[in-house]
Amino acid sequence: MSNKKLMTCIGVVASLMMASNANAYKAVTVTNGGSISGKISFSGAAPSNPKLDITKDKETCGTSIPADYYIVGAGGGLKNAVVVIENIEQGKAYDKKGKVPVDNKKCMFTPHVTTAVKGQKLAINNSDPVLHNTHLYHGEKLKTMYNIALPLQNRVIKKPLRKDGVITVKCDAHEWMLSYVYVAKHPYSVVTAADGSFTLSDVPAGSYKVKIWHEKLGESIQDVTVAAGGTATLNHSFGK
Amino acid sequence: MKKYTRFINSLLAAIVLSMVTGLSAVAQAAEAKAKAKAKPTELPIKVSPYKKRPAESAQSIAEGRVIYENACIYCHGVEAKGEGPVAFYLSRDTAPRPRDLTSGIYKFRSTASGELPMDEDIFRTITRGVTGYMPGFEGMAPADRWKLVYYVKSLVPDFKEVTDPEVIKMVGSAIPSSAVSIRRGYDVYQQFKCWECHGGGGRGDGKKAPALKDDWDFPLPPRDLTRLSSFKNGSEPADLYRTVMAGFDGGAMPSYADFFEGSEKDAWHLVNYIRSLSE
Repeated sequence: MSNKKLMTCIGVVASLMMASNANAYKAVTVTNGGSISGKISFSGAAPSNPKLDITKDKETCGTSIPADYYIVGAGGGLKNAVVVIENIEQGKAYDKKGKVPVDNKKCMFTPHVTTAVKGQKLAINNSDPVLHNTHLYHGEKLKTMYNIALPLQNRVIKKPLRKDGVITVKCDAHEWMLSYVYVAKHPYSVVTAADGSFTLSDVPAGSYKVKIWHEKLGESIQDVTVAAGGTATLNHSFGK
Repeated sequence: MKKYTRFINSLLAAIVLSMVTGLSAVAQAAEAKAKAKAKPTELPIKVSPYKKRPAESAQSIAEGRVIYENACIYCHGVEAKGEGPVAFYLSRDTAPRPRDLTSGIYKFRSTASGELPMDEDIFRTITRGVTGYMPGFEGMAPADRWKLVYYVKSLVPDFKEVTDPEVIKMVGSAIPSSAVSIRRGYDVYQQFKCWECHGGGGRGDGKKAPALKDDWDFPLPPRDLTRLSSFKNGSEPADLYRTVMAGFDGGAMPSYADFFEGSEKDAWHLVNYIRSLSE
């Protein structure tokens, strides 16, 4: 026990030190910035999505919904992966008051994966005539961030995103509902399109570690060097 | 449905009565008086009556730990993760289990959903216990209970970082219960879809009840609202107001604070309706 306590103490101290070392993102004017673009794909046969059994509110939700965990398009393009720069401390400005929409529609979250900048707000809406609740969980440990009731249709509730990292969004009222908000400390994060393509623009020249994250397939970190005014290519393939 | 019929009956009775005695006018006057008194306050709901409390220091935390190891360890465990030997017998495979006090997730709060509780919230839970689950420690000296609060807080590093949690504003105060107020509360219960989980008659048997789970994946059915004395977060009007506004973090009960903003009086009517289900 004492060993465990000691480890906890060390962990706490270490994380505090890391927290104090981490600089807040600084918005500057990016002149002659470059970009990172490419394609995230899945090689091999795309895993099949389970069918979600709808057990209630069938008049609104339907009777069966295919899950949207793996969306693999032509040429293996993987939708809904997140590409995010890991180590960038200053760069382009962004809308600090920006609202990131999350809609509860036909008992699914729309969009399924989205990105945001820490400090921005989620704009949560319920498009359905039934009770939803939006329950946010932070990080791998799925620690409750907040849990908001949405009893009335089409009334947007705005809630701040105070922590960065992967936020899992669920609805206790409909246990199959699931989505993710990837909150970065800066505006250099993007969700891949249906063909797996993405672009991060106005990136100051430099060398970066870029993370590729997918809800089911895990993550990978790649080194990318961006030249002034140039376009760096980043392709990554999950699977075999 | 039975409840509703009873409610209609009582409403009719009240109307008849009011024709005779002018009771309605009295009720309205009482409501008007409550309205006149209503003013927003930033104070946490039900602040402890014990204003004198020991300072929060390394020493009081250490003393709190000794008390913890005497009184709390059997359920909450050596590691305070809710893994005490008695926990096994309390609820092996259902919720709620003794709280993991290192998780930083608190059900009973007068703060917004996702926020840490006020010191007074932890003090209140230690004092009252949790109906049906945790015994109350009202017999323990208040100073000792405060030391326990400090020890429990010391288990969660976030308490050092967040010293200013967003407090649920208690707007207005309990409205004297009346047929009119209960009727309005019934409407709110319908409109805000409380029935989808708690059931049309409040018996905890709504269509969404069976699948509800807590954060640890244990089944956690919604409360049977017809049994007032079983309410875990207390049964006084202010307790119910706090529950509706703050929700239960770690469970499925969400916060309704955003939807009552500007119409907090409706929350008090809802409280009267819920309390009327046990009459």
